[in-house]
Amino acid sequence: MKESVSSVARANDKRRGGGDGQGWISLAAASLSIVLAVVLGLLGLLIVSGLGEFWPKTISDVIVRDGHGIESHTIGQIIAANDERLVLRTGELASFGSAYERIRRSEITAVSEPLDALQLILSDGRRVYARSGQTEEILRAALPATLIETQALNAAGFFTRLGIFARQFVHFVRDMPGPSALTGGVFPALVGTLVLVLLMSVLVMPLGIAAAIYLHEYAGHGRRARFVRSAVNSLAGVPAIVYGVLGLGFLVQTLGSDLDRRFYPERLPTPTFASGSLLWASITLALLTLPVVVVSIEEGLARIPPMLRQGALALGATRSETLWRLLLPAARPALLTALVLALARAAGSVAPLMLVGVVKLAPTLPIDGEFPFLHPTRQFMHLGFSVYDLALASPDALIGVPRAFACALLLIGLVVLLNLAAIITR
Amino acid sequence: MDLRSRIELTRRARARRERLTRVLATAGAGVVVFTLFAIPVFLAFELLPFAPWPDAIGHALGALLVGTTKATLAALLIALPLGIGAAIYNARFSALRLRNVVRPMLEIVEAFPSVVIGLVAAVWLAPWLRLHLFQVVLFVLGASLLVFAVGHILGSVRRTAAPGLERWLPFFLMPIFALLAILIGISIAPGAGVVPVTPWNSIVIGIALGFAAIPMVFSIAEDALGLVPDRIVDGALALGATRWQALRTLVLPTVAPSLLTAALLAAGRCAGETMIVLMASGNTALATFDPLVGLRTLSADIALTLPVTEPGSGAYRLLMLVTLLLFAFSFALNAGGERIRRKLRRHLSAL
Repeated sequence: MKESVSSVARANDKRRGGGDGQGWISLAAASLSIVLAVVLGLLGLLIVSGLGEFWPKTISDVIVRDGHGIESHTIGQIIAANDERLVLRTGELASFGSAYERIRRSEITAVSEPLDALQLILSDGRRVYARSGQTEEILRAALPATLIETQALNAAGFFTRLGIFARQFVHFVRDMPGPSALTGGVFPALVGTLVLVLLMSVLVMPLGIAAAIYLHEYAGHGRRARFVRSAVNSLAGVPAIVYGVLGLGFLVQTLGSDLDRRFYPERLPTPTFASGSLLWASITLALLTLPVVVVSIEEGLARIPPMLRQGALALGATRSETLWRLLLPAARPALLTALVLALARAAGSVAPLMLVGVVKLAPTLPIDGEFPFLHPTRQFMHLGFSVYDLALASPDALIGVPRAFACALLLIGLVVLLNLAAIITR
Repeated sequence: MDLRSRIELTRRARARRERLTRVLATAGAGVVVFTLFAIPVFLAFELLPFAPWPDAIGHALGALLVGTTKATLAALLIALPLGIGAAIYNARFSALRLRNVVRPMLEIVEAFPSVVIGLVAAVWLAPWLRLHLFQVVLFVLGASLLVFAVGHILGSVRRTAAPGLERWLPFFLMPIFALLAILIGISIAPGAGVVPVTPWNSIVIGIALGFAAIPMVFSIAEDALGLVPDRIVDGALALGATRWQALRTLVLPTVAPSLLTAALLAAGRCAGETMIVLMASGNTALATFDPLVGLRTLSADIALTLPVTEPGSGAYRLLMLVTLLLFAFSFALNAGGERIRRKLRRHLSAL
């Protein structure tokens, strides 16, 4: 049947001179191919730029002749180049954080990639480049730091480089940051993001489940229930920054300073609750994700066949028994989906956090071995904010931007994992 | 006697549990309703105190409104054609296997953190587009012409010869597009034609915000297009319509309300989007609709100035007004969009 209709369709297309409308159909196909190309291109760009930061690059020896005809060597990795200059990442001997030099192409006499060029990793995390003969001298200059590892990058094969790449990536994920966000790892940002979304889900799930149960079981279908339902739905589309304003204005400045006046007057004017912190940020995100959670749990409850609960009620179960023993277990996939949707949305929204307590460099983790282990009044770091901060507000774009891409890749990885979990569990 | 009292006890315990559940559920709903009203009430309350409005408030607000409108319109210009076009193809013409890959893929893209899109737009797209604006315009024109040519050829070859061609068309088009892009790239030097004064301009914002909104437009449109029953279309085909005619005269008018919903929801999302505009718009408050200069939106203004504003001051009041505007605008767009969508869904499932 289907086949005969489509052959009729083909015959029709043919009779009308073929071209009729086919151009538009192809144009629709073209939109899809552009969208797909952009999505794939974006993913490719993120992966290449994000991981490229950790791939060990070849060390170059650049010989420069200055105005007086004196030649000097500069050893480092070429990280950018255009028609006029080369940008070379040189060793961090003098300054902590990667140092680099800009060299005019007109002054360069030779660029070589010597096989004996080494990357030296020092005990304080600095990276220094040298030819094999210069190692002693450099190590004397680097005191009190000692040499941890010598990597002959230019002589290294693919698998050696892969090993170095993996180690650098692990260090980036696992290490604490250096004195500025431009050095060291992003461990606190990763922990901050995770603790924030976990705290948020602990807050949002009970509330969301309760509200969805109320709307489904007790609210009925009157005008008021319909109003609340559609309002919750519309609330899901309110921009995140508006919740951020609510968080800052109401939670931090009103509620927080009230708590301080009542319970911690001795510490004033140092704020305890009246400044941005993990607590307020997670409450703000919980409010932000609440509509999504309520809507998706209620949909899940509505999908359960009514016969099930009618049977339970007919057997003499009370409403709450039906709910706890039957409906909620049956709605488990919907609960999981709601949770994961909320996690993904929370992990991805940065704008409200900028108002309620995210910082570019936090001295302490929000979670540690010290009683009471979780410190909700501390400020925290967040991967998304690190992306923004490193890319646009860092003093050194040449180092900041690749690190921003690496953070972005971590964040995307986190969000995509959560979403895949949602797609699989439902 | 003993049994009866035990039954009585159980009955009481059950009734108590029943009440407890009801109270808990009501409390949860209470919190939700509280948030519902907390935002507008809080903002309105903050507006009340009689701090003086800052000087030139009309001017400042005007520039922000123009910026927001400009960003939203530019984004819709990108997101609506691409999103709806992709949805039409995916729902009605694409191979089933392709369809089943594209949908979850765009669902994941919808969850992309906007800060990542902002990063790519600000650091990579903006400087590149500044030098390649002319080439991009040329590519769009050339690609459209090419696509029409492909369509014409497809229409005139016997489709039985290549039945899979049309259903996998996006993949066959990609190499053609790549070839065209390389051709344009070779023949025209960077920086030819118009060079915008600033890399962070409305075109970049349009592309980045538009990209962020495409998955939303796509999913709403595709959802509705998939609900149109096949037998209606089959009837039209049997009466002699071509597939394009069936789509244009039958399917599209039926789902038009949901396309409107897609536009409304996307407009709401774009107007409130913060990180992308914050990173890639230059944040210059200019009251002009010139697409080649930067802009500053309501949301970016809140993110930039609220942390450094003294509560209770005139500037603070202005920001609260801005937030209230943003809230009311997006809430109204969403409520309207959802209403239209619900009506259409009911109508379609009755078909």
